[in-house]
Amino acid sequence: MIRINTENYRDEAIKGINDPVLQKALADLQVRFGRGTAEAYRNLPEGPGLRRKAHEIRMKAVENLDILLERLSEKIRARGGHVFFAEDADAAVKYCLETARKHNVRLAVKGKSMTTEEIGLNNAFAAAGIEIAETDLGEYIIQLAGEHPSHIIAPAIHKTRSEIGLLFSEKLKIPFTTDPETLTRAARKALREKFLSAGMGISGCNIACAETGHITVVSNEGNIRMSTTLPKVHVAFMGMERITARLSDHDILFRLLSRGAAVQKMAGYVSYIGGPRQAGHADGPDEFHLVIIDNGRTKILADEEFREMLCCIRCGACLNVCPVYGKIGGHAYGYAYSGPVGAVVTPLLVGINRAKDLCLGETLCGACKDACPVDIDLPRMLLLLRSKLADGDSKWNAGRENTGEKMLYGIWSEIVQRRWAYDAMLGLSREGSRLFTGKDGMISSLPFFLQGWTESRDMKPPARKSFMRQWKKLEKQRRVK
Amino acid sequence: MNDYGQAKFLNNIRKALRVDCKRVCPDLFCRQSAEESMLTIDRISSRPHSLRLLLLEKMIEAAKPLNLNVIPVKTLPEAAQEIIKLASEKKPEWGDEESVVLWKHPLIEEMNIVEILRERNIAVIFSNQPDTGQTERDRLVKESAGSFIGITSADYCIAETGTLVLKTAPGNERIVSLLPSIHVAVIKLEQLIADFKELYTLLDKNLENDPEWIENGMTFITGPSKTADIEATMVHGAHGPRELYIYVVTGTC
Amino acid sequence: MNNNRKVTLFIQCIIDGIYPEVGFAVVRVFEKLGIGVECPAEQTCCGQPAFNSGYRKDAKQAAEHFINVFGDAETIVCPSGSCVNMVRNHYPELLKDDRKWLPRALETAKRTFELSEYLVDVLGIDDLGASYGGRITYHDSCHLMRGIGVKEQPRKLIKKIRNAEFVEMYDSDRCCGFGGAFSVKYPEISTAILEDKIKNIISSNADVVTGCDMGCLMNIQGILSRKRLSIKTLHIAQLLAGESI
Ligand code: SF4
Repeated sequence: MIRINTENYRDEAIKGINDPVLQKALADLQVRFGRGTAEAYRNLPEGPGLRRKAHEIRMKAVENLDILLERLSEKIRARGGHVFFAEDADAAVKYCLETARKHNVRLAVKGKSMTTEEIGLNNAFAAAGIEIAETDLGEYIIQLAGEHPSHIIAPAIHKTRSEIGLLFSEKLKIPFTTDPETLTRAARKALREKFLSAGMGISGCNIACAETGHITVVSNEGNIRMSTTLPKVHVAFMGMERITARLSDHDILFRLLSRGAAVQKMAGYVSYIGGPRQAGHADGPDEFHLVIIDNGRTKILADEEFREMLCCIRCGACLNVCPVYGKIGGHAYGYAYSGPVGAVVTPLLVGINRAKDLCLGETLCGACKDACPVDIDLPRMLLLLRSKLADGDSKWNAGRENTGEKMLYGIWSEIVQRRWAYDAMLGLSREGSRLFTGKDGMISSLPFFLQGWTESRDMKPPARKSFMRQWKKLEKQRRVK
Repeated sequence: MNDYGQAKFLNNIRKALRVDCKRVCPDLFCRQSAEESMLTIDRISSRPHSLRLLLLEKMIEAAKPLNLNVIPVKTLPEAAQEIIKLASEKKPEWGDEESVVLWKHPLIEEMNIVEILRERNIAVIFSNQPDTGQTERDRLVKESAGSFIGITSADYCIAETGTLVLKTAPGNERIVSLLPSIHVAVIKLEQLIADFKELYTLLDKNLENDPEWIENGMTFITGPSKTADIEATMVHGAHGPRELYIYVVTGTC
Repeated sequence: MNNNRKVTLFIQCIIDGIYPEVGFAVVRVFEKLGIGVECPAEQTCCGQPAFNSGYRKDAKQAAEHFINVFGDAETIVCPSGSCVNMVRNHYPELLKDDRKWLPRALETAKRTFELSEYLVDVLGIDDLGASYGGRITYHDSCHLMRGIGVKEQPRKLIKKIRNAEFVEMYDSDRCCGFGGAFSVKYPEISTAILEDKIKNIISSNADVVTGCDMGCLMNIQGILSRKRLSIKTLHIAQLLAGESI
């Protein structure tokens, strides 16, 4: 049921590169958000260094996760809420489905949540004949079109207004228009009816607070407030790491989250939810369920070299600066999470070999690290994933990916320790390259694994004499003098 | 006993962390130093009127790019007049009937706005329906959804970002700031604080006195509902209110 | 004043094998300053290709070789940001569990500098009396800028070049798409990123694009040549040496 398509990274990437609409959208997105985020960090009263502080707060939470989750669930249960601990996607989905069936739910409204994408909730509900309506406008568009989101925060960036106009005129039976305002109104109206009639509201969780026992949900549209306030049953899903100890930790975390996600000083709506409707209250759900999900996270937790990945607050800032994401878009990553965060987290969740292209398909430029509001060292972990692919790692069930390459590097490592051998290698490559050098002195076509370079680029052939050879000769001459 | 998978789940976490469940982490939940928090709270409560007005100015600036209207008024009756004027200018979004839904809140009661609204044939709905059961509650939701204006107050208001902080409580329902087309909030200048640091210090203080202060809900609202999901074009009023007005009563001195 | 000063050069493998003229430009820069230059004969490669591809054991051997060769050098200068990033940031990571090598790696890292960083920060020099008749734009290489934090130093040096006009290109600090093995393993993605870089170079109206890393410059030169564009790629040392090729 869960959609994992990491094997097609390359093909999907090429598709993305050749899609002019997507290219323009991605470029606009990165200019607007990518540049703005860096600026917003600089303008923080505490400066960009605040991201380190946020990292420490998150790390402390992750290292005390058992205590925090215990406290959270205790508090929520005390208010009459239900808390379910799901070890994997299936358990989480099953629990939610059972809850829906118990209440005879036929329609559920859902606020944007990457965790529910991760566990494949929509497909499971569809199979059970229960409709889930996505309510974030971007997600709604994607759902009407039968597609998958391509960005954590802006899921429908790959669609133009006329595509959306056509889609709405067909599905919502409104006159065709390309005016974003009119289109938004149409969705507002259609979704209002759903909000008011849905039997269940589904949400994710941004950063829960253990001290007080609340989850938090953040949105700009108000759809998540609707989903968590109006239906009789509210089911919230949270990855087990999305929690912090103290309420006041939220000061730094929300300010950074808002800047990282959408260059805002503060997101439009932040709601703290700590249980179902209390006695004497006139609104809020009668039942509140929190589903806390592991689904491979304890494995990340157990490996100290990857543990910091659990600090991630899924803001999407790293996508907005990544040169690779900026060209290939979100679909190539083949799973709920795209961009740099996806490139690290997906292999850890679905298998390193299975997602090998995600580990290898980056330039290691480091822009993501500077953009991350919680200062996660994504490039470091990408390099580490590559080392698992190179040598295999039983702890991660990873096998050696490429024995030929391993052999070549083995030989290479012997050569680089001996200058004479290194010179011989240079000599060989120089001789070899002669066959390919054109009249202009450049190589325009290379064989074997080097072919990729010359598909679009020329290359200068190795020099007749390497720098070191020339230098040695000069040294000799000097000494003679 | 069914613990809904908790024991096993938390055990897995402990195994991964290689820690014992008996360990103590004394500083995990400890708040900022009492001294520091006292200082902040003192600063807030003894902030002179002139400085509060400065905060208000700051908020008006912050509100501009958010399409948020911050309007200073001298007195509560003046706020009431402004709201009536607003109501007469605006048309209902759904249907023709004009109705307003209100929090049960001392500030709103003091405004004496109900009578004036009724005189103008605007229906008034109170959100604090006694807890008589599902049908009553359903009716409230339906009526709020049809209202063109919802009037609330707030617990705090943050100048730096123009953020309203609303705690859920009987009479202070969430739907009033959510379902109507226009959200109107009335606050006193004294409720205005500088930034989120001040807010969380105040919340910590509240929690000290009453660990259940937040109870089951609290919402931060920064500007009207908005979306930029269609070609990154900003549109206000995605699902929540399309417009937001905050009336700040500054007093006459 | 620099009579007693001496630097030991580490010549990046790409320069050594493909662009020896860049190496000699570096030598000339130091000659201009009256600083003696040494080049240990046994040097080869810092190990980055293996490290970036995940072959850490092999990279470790290269690292140990580097440390052996440069162990006694007082000051190591390298005309490549990414090699210095490797030595400074990745050697300690690579050798972190090795009690014997780690202290030596940290020691070596402290004494290793990138060329422009060494000139500006250590020597306090930004004017090398160079001249170049043309319009120059500068590409910030990722490992140079984000890895070792060198951004202003090269600009200071370029701005002092006589007869030259310095123009910033748009997004100068955005990756050129090289990424070592990435460029041959994922040529389509690499090229798509590179195309943007080229657009920005062209619209800067410069006749030469310079930088502190031949890896990126080779990438940029490769596509400029394929497109038969006349914009030149020169390493910053070539400009500072006063050559106008
Ligand atoms: S890795 Fe950092 S920047 Fe990327 S989504 Fe997570 S928190 Fe945001």
